Amino acid sequence: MALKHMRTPSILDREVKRGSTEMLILALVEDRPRHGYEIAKLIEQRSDGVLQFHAASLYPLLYRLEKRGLIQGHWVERPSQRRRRFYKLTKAGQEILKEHRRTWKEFFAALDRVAGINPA
Amino acid sequence: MQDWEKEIREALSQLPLRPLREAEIVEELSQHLEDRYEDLLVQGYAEDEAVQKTLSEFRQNEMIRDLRGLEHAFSEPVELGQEPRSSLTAGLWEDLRYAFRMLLSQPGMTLVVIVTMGLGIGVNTTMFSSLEMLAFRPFDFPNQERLVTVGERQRETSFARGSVTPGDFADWQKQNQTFEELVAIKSSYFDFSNASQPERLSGNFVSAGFFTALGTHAALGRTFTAEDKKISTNQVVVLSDGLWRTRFGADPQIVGRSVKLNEEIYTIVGVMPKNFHYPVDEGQLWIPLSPDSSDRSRRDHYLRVIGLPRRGVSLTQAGEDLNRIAVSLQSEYPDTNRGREVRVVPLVKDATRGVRVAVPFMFISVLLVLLVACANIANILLVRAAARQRDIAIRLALGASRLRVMRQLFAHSLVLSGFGGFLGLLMAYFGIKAMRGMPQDFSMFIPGWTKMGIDQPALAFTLVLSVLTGILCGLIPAWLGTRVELNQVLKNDGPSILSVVQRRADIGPPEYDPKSL
Repeated sequence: MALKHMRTPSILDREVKRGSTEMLILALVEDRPRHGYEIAKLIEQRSDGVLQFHAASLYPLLYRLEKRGLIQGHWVERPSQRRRRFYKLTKAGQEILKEHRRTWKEFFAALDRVAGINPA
Repeated sequence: MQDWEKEIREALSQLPLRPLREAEIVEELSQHLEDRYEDLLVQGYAEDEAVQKTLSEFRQNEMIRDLRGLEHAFSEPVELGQEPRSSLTAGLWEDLRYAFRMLLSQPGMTLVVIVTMGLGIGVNTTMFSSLEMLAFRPFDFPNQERLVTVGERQRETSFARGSVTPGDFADWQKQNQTFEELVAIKSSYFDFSNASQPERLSGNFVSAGFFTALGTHAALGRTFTAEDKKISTNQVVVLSDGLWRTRFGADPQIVGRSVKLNEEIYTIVGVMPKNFHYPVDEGQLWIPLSPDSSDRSRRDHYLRVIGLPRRGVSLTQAGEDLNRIAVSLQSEYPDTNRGREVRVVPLVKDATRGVRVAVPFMFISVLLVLLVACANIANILLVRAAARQRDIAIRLALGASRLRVMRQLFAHSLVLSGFGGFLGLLMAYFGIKAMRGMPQDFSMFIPGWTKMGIDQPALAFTLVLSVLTGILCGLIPAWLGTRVELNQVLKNDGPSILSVVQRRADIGPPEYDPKSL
């Protein structure tokens, strides 16, 4: 994942990536199963192009989450279409996502108290 | 149209992926790149630019490094008709597990076989442990290899006396040129009066140099000095570890205390180490032998003599030296010493001569017991192998090698012998413990009796014996059990793996387990 149009220090860039990408993917497959390109596209769209996910970094992460049992992938075939691999959130993934959200909320609340940053 | 798959395959070629897994990743990623390419075209990019941008985005990250830790290493596919590993140990663990299951499925038979093996191995281990100690390692003296016993022999009758006269001993001691130490021992009993009730103790008078010759030092206090042998000085005694513990409560301040022995006062000067037992196992004390200058009898044989030849002096040279003296004594005292010679024998050999004679007979006896046990067990295992002949035939028909099936049968007998060996070791341990507890009147005259136990050689012996027993018991069943006529056996009716498989097929298909793929 990359932060587009931002001169972010590299360390912060890595920290933000590490802490947030997992949560972003889990959150996007929370409502319904999605395939990899859809996930990447949604991240870019919903962040107004600030966040971008390319295939080379997205799929290793998807496979890692699948290996950890947080998401589950399955091939779906539809008439006159190439089959696609969709990922859905597992029960363990739901727990982790809940934990991620709580942590990030606390983090932003702390930032807000100190520096007056309102994530909303 | 751009060949995304080729690009992805080239990138993935660095990873040892399973073919199926690689195909999945290629399919998924190529679809992603195609979607991205089409999006870029929609956004207004020219075809070439869209391709270049898609590829540059795909190449910019270290995907291979990320995937390397995630994906399982791919091993070579199993070639049908061949074992994936040809080593002899391949599948050994499965064989052992199968053997355990077989044993548990028939506990009665297993128990009978293990107990039979345990008895056979236990008797052999007991015999090995005791005889190995009694016949070859009865002592632990530092100078053991050089120590000899010296006795007298009548030339005409070849009658060998174990004991020596005081007169002859005195002359040997004075005139010999080959011994560092020549020591006389006189065993005796002592009335011990310090306790509330008088007690009789066995002990030994020993001449100067006794402890020096054996190379053993006191654990507490000292042994004898040159002064101690003078009769005019205070009489001294050295105690055995056992006496010190049982009669004096292992008192560390015991040295210097007095005890009354045979109505005379002796000063305790030392306590010997726990494992020091000589000349008899249950000797409880040692007192300096003060030769009475008036006692030069050449008729009364009551001294036992041991010697420590000087370094470099052979047994023959030591014997020749003492016989030279004996010849001069023959002419000097013809009435008593006519035809009297000296014989010098290694101490260990002399002390164990009785046991050594019995060793082969005793070992043959117990080995026969084990062989009979093995024959019975082999018979039981053969019957079992015959009952499984149909199963064996099916395995052979499916492609298992005869060696592989034989190994499984061997694993069965080896597991049995392993348990049998363990049981035998326990039996030997308690058997030897019981032997050591035999009455002292019997055991005290057998050097090494109190040392008997299960030590490293005994453990090694049991291990080897257990393996050999397992091989011996499993050999015939494995050989005969796998000599089957496949057609003949498979045509016969009877319970077998096949019938079990058939019954399972009637119940329904096995549950699908994706992990098994």
